[in-house]
Amino acid sequence: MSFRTYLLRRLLHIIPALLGLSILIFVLSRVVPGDPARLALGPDATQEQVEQLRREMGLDKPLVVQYLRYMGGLFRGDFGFSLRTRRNVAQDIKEFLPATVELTTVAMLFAIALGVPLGVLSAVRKDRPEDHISRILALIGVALPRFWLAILLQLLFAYYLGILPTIGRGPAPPVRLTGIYLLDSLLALDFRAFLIALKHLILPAFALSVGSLAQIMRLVRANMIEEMRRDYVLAARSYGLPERVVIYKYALKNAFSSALTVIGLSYGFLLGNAFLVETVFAWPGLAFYGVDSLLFKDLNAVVGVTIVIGVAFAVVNLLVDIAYGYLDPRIRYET
Amino acid sequence: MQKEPLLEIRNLTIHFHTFEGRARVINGIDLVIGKGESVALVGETGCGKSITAKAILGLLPPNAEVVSGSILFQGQDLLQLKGEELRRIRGRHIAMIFQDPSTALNPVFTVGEQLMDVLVHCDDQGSVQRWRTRRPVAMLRQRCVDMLRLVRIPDPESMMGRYPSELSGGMRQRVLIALALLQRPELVLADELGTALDVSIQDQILQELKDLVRTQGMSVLYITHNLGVARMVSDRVYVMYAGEIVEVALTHALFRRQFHPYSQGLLAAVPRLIGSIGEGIEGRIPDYVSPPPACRFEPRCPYRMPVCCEVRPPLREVESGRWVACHLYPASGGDSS
Repeated sequence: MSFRTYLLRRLLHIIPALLGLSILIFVLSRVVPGDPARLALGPDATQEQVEQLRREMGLDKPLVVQYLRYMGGLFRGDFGFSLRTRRNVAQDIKEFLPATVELTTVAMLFAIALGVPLGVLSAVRKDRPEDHISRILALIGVALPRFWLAILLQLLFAYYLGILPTIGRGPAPPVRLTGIYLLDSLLALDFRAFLIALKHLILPAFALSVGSLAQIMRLVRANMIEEMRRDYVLAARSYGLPERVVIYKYALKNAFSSALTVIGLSYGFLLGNAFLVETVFAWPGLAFYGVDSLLFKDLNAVVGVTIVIGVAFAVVNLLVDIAYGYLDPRIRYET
Repeated sequence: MQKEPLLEIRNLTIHFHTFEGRARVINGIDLVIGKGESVALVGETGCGKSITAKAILGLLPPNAEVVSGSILFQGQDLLQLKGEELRRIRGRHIAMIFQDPSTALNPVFTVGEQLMDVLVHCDDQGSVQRWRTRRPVAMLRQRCVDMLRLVRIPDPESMMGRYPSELSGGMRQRVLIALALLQRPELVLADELGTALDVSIQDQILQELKDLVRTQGMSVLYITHNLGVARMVSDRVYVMYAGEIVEVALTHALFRRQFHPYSQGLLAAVPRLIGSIGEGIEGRIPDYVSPPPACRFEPRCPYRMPVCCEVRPPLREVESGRWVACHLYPASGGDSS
């Protein structure tokens, strides 16, 4: 099986996974107690009004019919109507998704950019002070509740030091192309706006990244320690290669490729945890929107958000697979 | 008779700090390799052969401790060298061919990149000089291709772009040889070369390496448990048992007659095509944490005498060019130089 066939197969696997996800969330959203029509219309509405809305929403039909109708709409790009924002859910998602993509991507970059070097350092200086300190920090990172850390960061950097903004994404860049402020400001060559967007991102992205950072660090450390014991490391040293090449090129490429899978999975945790961070930092993102919709029993919004996040997760993991094949030729040439 | 020495190991003693205690793995060995000479270090698995090679390159594991001794290479004691000085010796003056071709190549880089790395990163002096003498990549690449051709790899150009996982065991072994010889070292340490391959390919590769080092004038230390290999490739043989050298002889002399009981047992253990399989030696290599007090072979020796567990037999010259560490053989005429 060539690597291309392998990727194609992974791509095809996404379809049943997303179908399953849509069925699950569709059923779940409808079996939780509470009547969305009643919630939307408020306590003063008459029973007839509620019944009419239920009919309009198709809630009186059997579940299977509802589902097929919904999926039919989905394929035409119609996510249904939101009872809360009174707009098409697709429009809401378009508005809120970029903020979450931006937040989680930057958080992921933080986690990799800090987790990998710390993991390497910890492995190379195994059982020395540097190792102990990084490991304790990693443990704290995993254990700390995100929202609490987020509040502490706000207190320190925004309130006491006053060097970073407390909440929000800051003013939108003049041109909206992607909705990702960093990207939009760069595309418009507006570096001032880029800097402002970045300043707003640092605290929430860091707060969000800490768990993944610690996870990546621990994994890279363990993998590096294993790789450093291998024959090819000894062989590389015996050719007289400098230690930096042996560690950062020879061992790290091997150690990192096995850490990649976890990086893909931890993107899912980031999406899940994004809600807490988005709440604390008043970040107008999709996670925040999704949870609000859930509390309001805004069915179409809940299902829509879940499917979009599912797609995002699948795409990231597909990217990880591609990167994996790039880093490790054994995957590419496996027969 | 004796060639000018290139490498001289004197009284090397290495202990390992293990969970069970202090393991006295290398117990005062002497070993000389002359310029252009091929020497075999023979002994069963676990007798300390590989440790000796790693000690030469300064690549001992962290729990090893060099207790005493010296390793003189071109008049310089390798054991006194600091990290960076030692790194400049490795590969450029002394190189090692690793024993397992399936694990000693980095799986995620092409053959070409691994060869190029050695030239790019190892052939440097200081950074200033490197800048001044930086050679074009094409030239370095040509050197790699030439080296692959020298180790008889067919189509070396395309080999440069291949990954180790695409190669057969024999090809990987050739690549490892190319990596070791790339910087034209004076001394090559071949650790169990070809053991992981099937016998016909092993013979072929050994023969080729033997011819290659002869034409390049390199010295080689073959580390092997296989007496057949030693006979094929070496000029002189050191027989090692439990971290000690028990017999040294010219290869043809050793195969004519073995003096030390261990050497005799080792040769008798070789299976032959005609007749029964070899006899083998009773028992196993002793425990290094609490080895026998005097002669380490005494518990397994068919000729043991009371003196064998009281006095450690020194390595004595019993006839010209032959040293034996055994109480059975008194020194010949007293001249031991």
